[in-house]
Amino acid sequence: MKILYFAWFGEKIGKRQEEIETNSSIDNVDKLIELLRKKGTQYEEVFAEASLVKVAVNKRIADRQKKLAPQDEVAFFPPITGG
Amino acid sequence: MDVLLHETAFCPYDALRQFAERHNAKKAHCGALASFCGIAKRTRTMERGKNIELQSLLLDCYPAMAKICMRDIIEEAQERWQLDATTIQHRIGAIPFGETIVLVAVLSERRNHAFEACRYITDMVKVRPPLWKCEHDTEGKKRWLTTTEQDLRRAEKWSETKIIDPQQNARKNTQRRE
Repeated sequence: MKILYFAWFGEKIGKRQEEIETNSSIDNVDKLIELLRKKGTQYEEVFAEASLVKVAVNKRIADRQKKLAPQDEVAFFPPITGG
Repeated sequence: MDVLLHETAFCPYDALRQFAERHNAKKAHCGALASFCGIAKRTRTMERGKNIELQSLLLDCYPAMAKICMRDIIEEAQERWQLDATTIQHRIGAIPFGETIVLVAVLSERRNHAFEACRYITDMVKVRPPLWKCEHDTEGKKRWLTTTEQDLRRAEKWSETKIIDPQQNARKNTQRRE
């Protein structure tokens, strides 16, 4: 699964993109976040405050119950401050 | 509709002229062109009682999603108003103060449609496309900005305004594209 991190999430984790091997048990965003949190303290810090974690699946805003497939592109980022 | 992300400086006046020329030639009935140009503003922030001078602005972006999001916003505007052509052009990356961040332009037969659609699109572009502002100060410190309540309220206010005759707008918009 292709995972993207933007703004300070990318800085904290130290990369903006990575490929993650997932199995069929990682079938929604919530479960993916749980998997990522186990990857290290920097991930733990990024995902610590749920209200600050926004998600897009295949370039559309999604919630944590959104179903995932292995070919999906999942992006994590803090609240948008654009324009 | 055209949506553009600029990684380097762009001149809003050239962009506007090109937009008007591209669409006006075949749509001579347009009576109005409304536009908004946002400029990177040098703000001062107070930190521990000290005035902090800002050095530069960085706009991080998820480009593929930002384009989809901007097209969605234009489609919503087309449902609300009768529009002939629309453009959203956004600067991303490092932006020196004083340079253009965003240009929104709308061509319509009627000025109230052009004005209101331009305002709607601008309000939505402030809060919806995946863009993140980061400020660097003269001491080398960087700070990611948080969403302003004022921007969110402005965008939310549009959900309270009634869409007048979306079917007629859709019909007219389709006729004009043909």
